[in-house]
Amino acid sequence: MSDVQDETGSPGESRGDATPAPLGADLIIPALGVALALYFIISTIDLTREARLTGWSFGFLLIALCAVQVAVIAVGVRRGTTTLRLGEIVDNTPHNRRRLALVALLILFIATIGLVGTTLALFLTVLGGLWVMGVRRPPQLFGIAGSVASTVFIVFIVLLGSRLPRGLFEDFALTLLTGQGG
Amino acid sequence: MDLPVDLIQTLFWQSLSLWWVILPGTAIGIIVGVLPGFGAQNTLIMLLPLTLVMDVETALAFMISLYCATQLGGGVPAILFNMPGEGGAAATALDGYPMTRKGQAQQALVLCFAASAFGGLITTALTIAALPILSQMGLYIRSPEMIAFMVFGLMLIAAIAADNMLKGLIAGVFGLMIGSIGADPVFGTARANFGFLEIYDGVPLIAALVGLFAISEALVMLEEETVVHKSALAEAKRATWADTLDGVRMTLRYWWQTVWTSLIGLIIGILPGAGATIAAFLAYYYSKMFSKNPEEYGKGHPCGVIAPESANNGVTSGTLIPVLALGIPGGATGAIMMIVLTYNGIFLGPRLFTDRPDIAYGVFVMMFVSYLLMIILILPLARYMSRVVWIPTRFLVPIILAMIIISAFSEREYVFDMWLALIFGVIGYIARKTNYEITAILVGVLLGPLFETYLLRSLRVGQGDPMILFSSNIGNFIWVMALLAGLLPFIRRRRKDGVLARTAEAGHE
Repeated sequence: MSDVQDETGSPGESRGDATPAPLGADLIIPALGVALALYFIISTIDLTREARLTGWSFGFLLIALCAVQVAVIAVGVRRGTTTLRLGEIVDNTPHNRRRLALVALLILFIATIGLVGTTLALFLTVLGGLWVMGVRRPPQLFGIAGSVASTVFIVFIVLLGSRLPRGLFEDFALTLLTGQGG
Repeated sequence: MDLPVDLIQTLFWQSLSLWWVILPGTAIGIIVGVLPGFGAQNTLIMLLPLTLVMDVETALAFMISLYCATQLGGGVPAILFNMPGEGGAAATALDGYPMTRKGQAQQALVLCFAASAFGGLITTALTIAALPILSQMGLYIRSPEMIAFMVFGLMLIAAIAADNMLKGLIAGVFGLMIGSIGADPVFGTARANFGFLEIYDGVPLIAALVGLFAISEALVMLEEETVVHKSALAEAKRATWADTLDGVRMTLRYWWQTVWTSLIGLIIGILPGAGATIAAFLAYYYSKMFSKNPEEYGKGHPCGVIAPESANNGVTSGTLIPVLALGIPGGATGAIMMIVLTYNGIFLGPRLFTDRPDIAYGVFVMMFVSYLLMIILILPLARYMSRVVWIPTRFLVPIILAMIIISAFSEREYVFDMWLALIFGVIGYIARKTNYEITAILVGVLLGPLFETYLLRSLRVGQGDPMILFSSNIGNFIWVMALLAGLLPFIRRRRKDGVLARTAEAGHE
């Protein structure tokens, strides 16, 4: 894991560079943390002391730590060694475009799984994912997508009896296999 | 109570004759362990009708071999893809995955399997020898002692934070904050659940785990051609059986690690409410703390794989001790075994050792035999499983993302958990890119709710007096250990910085 982080670490780690390091992205996790802490504190204000005790302690500690992080970056910005640009994380690169497309596919998959059923939705998602990753040969595209979808159908739905959402394909296949549809 | 040697010998041969049910149980367990979110308990629940029609010895042999093998299988995706299948395996990923990236996937898998099997064998043998004494241990551990244990576990955040203290602490406390979401342990009032009933009980661990580790890793992985570094791929493909045996050599070299970290697992396993995750992280932490080369951890150190895996498997025997001796199931797996035994007219509790010693000892002898048979599988499994990482990421990434989203559903069977895993995946990706340690976030998410439960329970017992936390000798001893554990990484770092500065100064002069 450290390997990956070393390679993809935030540009801010190379502070010896002449150009100011874009450290805006370093504030995303603190921003999420502060938002969660404030939401927790505000939404539990009416609860008993015991229900608030640990959450509030963690919340105030998190807000304090995030304030220090903001201060550290603010000092860097003032000295001209860092900027508030988001940097690599939002750059328009092929990798970022692929990532965005894959996340969009996953969102589409989860949103439609209840309508079209797990197997078909999974087949289309893997097919789309392979296309996004640059696979173009039809045997590879359909072979891999079909294998993944059918494995999930057989292992999870048929053998393990999982309650994964079912659609037309599952109803039809289960009727063929067991004589009992959805 | 004297050790019934003759009985144990008879039970050993009886268990060995059940190899025909132990081997399929082991195979199912490994497959289930590899699938994130699909733990031993889910599988045992599904196979409950099957085990109820078996005779009690056969049913126990099947359940125990499946349970033990699940722990072993969980390390595989953690090592090969940095995607732990369960909480305990998250610690294995810390060094296992860097080994894979260096082209040492075979060695890492051998270390994982060997540490699991030998760790399991050692702790099971010890449990058989000291069963009457160990069975009393759970009675001395109460909420104040458990709080000290939890703080001990939380010190891992400090160890992770030692490299970048501010970011490490933010990540850890952010995890604790996420862990605070859900009903409070005293009154059951919903807290900060964003209006979703699905997280009324808190954030589901599998969704958080697969999101933080697996989805974020897949999103980072797509930048490379293969999981293994380009430079190490040719070497990995040239690997022979000699390289597989190199993993055995490493295991033998660090045999002492396997012994003492599996004992951590055994002790943690006996404690109610603790479990494999805490054991694996504690073992990793202490292995690093007592190592002569702590800076090598996180970069592919063999002991970083051995420690969590032997502790994980040490937990398996520990967990069953309170089930048999006290009739208290520490978790779902123990509860299912209780159902099967009760169905067969066997009642668990202190009288089990006098009424049915064949069952009390038989469970652990079967476990011993399961681990023994598992050793046969170590080398072929490691050799052929490690080849998965040669597959180009353009194929792997879509498959992994699809399977991970499906596995997020498996724990509770809510589509909501898929959304949650995706959100955690995006958070994990941002955290990786900006160097906030996702392991620290995960430790917070895992230990936060346990910490709160034991803290509030202790304060209730002490009628609000915080001194209750320091009211027992065992607890105080653990507090001192936790304090030392928190300070040591910083002291070592300061000393190392001092030595480096002096060396640089001397070189300059």
